[in-house]
Amino acid sequence: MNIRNSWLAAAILAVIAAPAAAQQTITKRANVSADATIEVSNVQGSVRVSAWDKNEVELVAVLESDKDKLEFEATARIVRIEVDRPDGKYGRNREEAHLTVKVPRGARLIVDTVSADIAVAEVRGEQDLESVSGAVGTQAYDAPVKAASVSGDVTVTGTGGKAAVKTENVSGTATVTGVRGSLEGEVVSGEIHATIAAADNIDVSSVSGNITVDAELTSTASVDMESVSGAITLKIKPPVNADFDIESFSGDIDNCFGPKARDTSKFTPGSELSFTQGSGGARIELQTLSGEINICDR
Amino acid sequence: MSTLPFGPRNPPEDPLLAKAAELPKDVAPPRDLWPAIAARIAKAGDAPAKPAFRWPLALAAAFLVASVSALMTWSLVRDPQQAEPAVIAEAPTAGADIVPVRYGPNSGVSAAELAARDALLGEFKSAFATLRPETREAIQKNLAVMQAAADEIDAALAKDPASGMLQGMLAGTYKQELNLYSTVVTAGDGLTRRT
Amino acid sequence: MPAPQVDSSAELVRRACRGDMGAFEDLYRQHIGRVYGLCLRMTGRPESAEDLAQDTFVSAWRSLPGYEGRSSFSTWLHRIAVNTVLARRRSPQGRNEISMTDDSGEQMDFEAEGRMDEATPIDVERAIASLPPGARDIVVLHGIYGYSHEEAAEMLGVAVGTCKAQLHRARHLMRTRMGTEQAT
Repeated sequence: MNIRNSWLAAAILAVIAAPAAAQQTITKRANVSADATIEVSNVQGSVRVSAWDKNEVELVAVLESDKDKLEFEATARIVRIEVDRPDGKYGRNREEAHLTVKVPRGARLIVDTVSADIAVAEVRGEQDLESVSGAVGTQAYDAPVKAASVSGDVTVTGTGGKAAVKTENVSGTATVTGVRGSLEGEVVSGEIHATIAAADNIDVSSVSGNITVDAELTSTASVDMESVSGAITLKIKPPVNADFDIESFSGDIDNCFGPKARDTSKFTPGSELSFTQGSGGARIELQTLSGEINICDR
Repeated sequence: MSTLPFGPRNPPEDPLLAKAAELPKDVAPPRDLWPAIAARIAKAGDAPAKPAFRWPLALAAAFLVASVSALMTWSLVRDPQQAEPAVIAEAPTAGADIVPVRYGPNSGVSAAELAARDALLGEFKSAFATLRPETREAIQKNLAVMQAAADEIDAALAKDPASGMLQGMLAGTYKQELNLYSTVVTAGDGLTRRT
Repeated sequence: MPAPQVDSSAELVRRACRGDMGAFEDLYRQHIGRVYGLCLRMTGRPESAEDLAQDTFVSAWRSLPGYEGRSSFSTWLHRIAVNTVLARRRSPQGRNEISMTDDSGEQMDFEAEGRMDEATPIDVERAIASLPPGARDIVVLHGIYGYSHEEAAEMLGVAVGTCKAQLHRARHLMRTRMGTEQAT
């Protein structure tokens, strides 16, 4: 091997090695109360949070860039974790910051990121998780959960407890499965796919995205589903005892329970369908401007 | 350029702000908070956080390594045409082409609601410019979806102005637009960077 | 016997940084009125204001070495208080607290209790408390505590233009609610 090639090989190795030299791994710990509030903010990379049986917060932060600044402030009641790039410049390499956090099971969790994915497991306190383009995934227990992403997907998996789940997407898809209790969901062009048992409240809306909900309703459930141009599909686990109020300005209404939609008035467009199935009780309101509506039992 | 009807200082004759300035700045809490504060500090076992200790030698070494690495990289990939590494996450003019949703003549969106939306728009455009290109594109597409919906609803309201359903949908579209701006503005907000 | 000399804030901060809780208590006593006043007016809720004022001083204790003296200690403390209020507002708990407005600034019904007398400080406080959060923040920081637009914008993490827009809106809303201007 001649000298020039050796130099070239060394230069290539230096370029490959250089980013690793900038990487920092930082570990922080703090003793906290069982229901402490943990706030995490990151820009790009990931945030992974899991619960353990200690009244302690542990953070392991892997920062790929030495330009990133890690803030960790803790009192017994609040822990604040933030990764920041002070000059706001992220460059071509898109170096990421990966945060792995362990929190008490009953902790309240607030996470917000720009493009970092958020993954949460086994946290039983309230959760407020929000990203612009990162994917958001978590589990619902008995406490309220809000999971939102502008363009990333949102996934909430129930664990048998009765929870209030709220999802917000713009173009990502919200998938909610195995949840009991209450669901609120909003999308613009993304989709909502939800399976919910013992549902006492369902309130979902979209602008153009399709909404599909598979629900077992309580006897006094309230269901509101609305879309401008997206399709709404509602499947209800039998026996179905509900009062239906369905309206669409120009979309088709397909109802497997029998009654057919009729024109709202001969002077204005629109069709509506109101009927009671079984002994009534649950209240179901479905509305679209131009999207189609499909309702049936399973 | 600001179109607001005042200059860099508030007009000194503004009576409401003058009254606000006369309000007492100190308000005593109903009870002494010090015992609780002292207890929390003592329980956390905190002393004020010590300043980070810097190792000057290691810093110099790191600088040397980085410089050498940069020099070799430059040598390896030198391209006379290449400028400084582009800061892809910043596109200062990227927010300039954001057009907020226009609500038609039948929509009934009030001036106050539009003012609330517009108050948020400036910050949104700044934050928008720092997002990745694919995220900006997704947001632009969805603003177009909202515009199409607003237009569709407005046209429908022209035929059925009393429709509560349509008015509710319009309000929902407006709220979605505001939520989008708020989410982007507050994302990765930095809970401590302003301390 | 000469009266004991009151330490300046700078000296108290130096001592507090070395772990002197007595010095920090003196700082607390010097500044709690303004911190609590700011928290109270930004939240409109006395019980929250107490919690937030406590949180502010606990945070300040931990952050003391970061105080470099570039701004007054009072301003530095106010920055922490503002951050603490804003963080609480964004939390799940903060969102559940009753507010005169929701997050988008849409105002809930505000019934003026008879015609408000513009000259009464309590009426002014009430009018400020009824403002939507963004407008209220700027009136509190700029109107009551005298921070410039630039300082208030920096503390709130918003653009100066947004601050000015919020102030304009706040003035209109306050005048409307105090019965001195027709709502448009």
